[in-house]
Amino acid sequence: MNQQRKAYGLRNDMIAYSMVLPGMAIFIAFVLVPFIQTFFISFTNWNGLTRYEPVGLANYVELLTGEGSLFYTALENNLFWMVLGTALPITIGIFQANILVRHSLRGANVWQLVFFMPQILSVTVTCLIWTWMYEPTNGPINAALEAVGLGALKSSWLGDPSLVMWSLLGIYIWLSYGFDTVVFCAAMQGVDPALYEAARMDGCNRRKQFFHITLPSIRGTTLSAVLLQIISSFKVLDVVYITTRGGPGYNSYILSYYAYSEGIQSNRVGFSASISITLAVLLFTVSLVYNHVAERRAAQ
Amino acid sequence: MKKSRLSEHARLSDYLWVLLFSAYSLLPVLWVVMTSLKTNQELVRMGPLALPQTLRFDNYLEAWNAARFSTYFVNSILIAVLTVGGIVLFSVLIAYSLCYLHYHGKKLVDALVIFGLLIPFELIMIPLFYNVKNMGIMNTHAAVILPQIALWLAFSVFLMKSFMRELPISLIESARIDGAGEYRTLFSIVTPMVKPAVISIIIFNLISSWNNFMLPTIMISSDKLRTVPLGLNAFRTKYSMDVALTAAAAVIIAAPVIVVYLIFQRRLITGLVVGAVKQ
Repeated sequence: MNQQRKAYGLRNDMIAYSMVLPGMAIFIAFVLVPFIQTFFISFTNWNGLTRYEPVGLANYVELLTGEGSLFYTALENNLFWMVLGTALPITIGIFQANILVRHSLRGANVWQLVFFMPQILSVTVTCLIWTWMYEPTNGPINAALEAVGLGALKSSWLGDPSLVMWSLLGIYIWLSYGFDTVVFCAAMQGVDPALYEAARMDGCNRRKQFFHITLPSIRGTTLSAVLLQIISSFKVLDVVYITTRGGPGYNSYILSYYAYSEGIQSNRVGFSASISITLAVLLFTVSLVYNHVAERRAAQ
Repeated sequence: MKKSRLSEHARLSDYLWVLLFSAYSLLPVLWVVMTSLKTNQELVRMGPLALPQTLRFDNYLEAWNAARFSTYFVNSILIAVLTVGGIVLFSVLIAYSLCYLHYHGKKLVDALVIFGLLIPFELIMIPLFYNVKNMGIMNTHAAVILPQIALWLAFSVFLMKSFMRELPISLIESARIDGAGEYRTLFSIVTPMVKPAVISIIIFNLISSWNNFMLPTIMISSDKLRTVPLGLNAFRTKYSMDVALTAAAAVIIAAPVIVVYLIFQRRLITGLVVGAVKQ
């Protein structure tokens, strides 16, 4: 401790606080306090305007067991989005990085640039583009299907209850797989080439090299990329808001959109807060369980 | 080093794979650019896939004049610059205090930063909305700037910290021995050495702010305060029948970001990757 203090200089609280406080004050006021408030509001019947009364667990009971509650619809969609919206971009990313880096495809940087590009567009632009793509009467996807003789596959991509979540997933993967590709490219470039050299001497083919050298070597990156992707799969309120508003019917409701529509459109702030808290519990549980499992497997 | 050669067959399937995904990434964007150069009659008559017969650049002018895009641009720039300025300043300060100072409550600051990394906007938006209303700053730019700083600060502190930690400690020590104060050490010695991190943070937050949609949507209601994405969203509702014009508006809005991206791509990507991999 003494050693460390010497290395890091003198203790000087006042200077440190002057550095930390301005930023932290904004953080506390606009993130931490609202987070704590969400928790308390979820036990009240606040409507955003008048005084409120504590109602105990009533909001949660309504959310989980209420007649008209959309909780399970929204939860199912969130889980669909979490599982496929994580697995697919990660798998595509690893596969692509393997092609670009390990197979040393020409122009690897240019390809990465192309795959990453959707990530930097505004979600408004992205959603606008894709509502046109999916447009049933005059959209390019249906027109292209028609043109190649697959007219039977023409659909109302965002209007069909059984297709809407898949169509939204298509937008989400478009947005996110480039990021994973770039992350895995960086990770694979860092793997010691001598390992592959040795494997080749032993007669390992590319497939074996991929499974026995590449995948184990990039494990750290894979673990954090999966966690990041899980967290970001919950941040899709804007996509749903712009494209479908939860529709058709309630078929593309997700928890955050449910919270938004109850809390800001219907003024049922207390109930909405209980949705947010449930979402937070879900998000933290998934992250913690994932982290725990990942660390246990890393320790083995 | 000698590389084992891929078979022709494997090489071909590699190219097919990346071409397929490039088409997935690029075609929707190219389609919008193409549509922005057509007339609506053409779009209906020839179908959405036909190439434009003449390049109608007038759409851009018309779209620009149909809504207050110059106001939206000014609003977006103002919000982005103030957000980025705040985040850069605060993240440098906080990261320095976490790397090189000892003080009571440092563990708490560290914990809050980690907490901040985990909290998405969606979890706090409802109370945030009502708090901002009660503070009397609803429908102002401050209602977007302050929450943006608060929500994105943690990631930038985290990124900055991972760069600052790598600096040789002897550098800071010798500055202290020479009698430089902490602020002086920070701004004239440490900050120049973490310039790549500063640039990544600037670009990353600039683009996030420029593109942000949900927060400004709930905070801003009057047209003259709208940012570019909100302007576009209102535009597409108003001119929903006029696809070519809306496409032109979308291109106008996406173009500056794409230019910034093409210029700074390495920095931007490196920043994001460091964030992801070190986390």
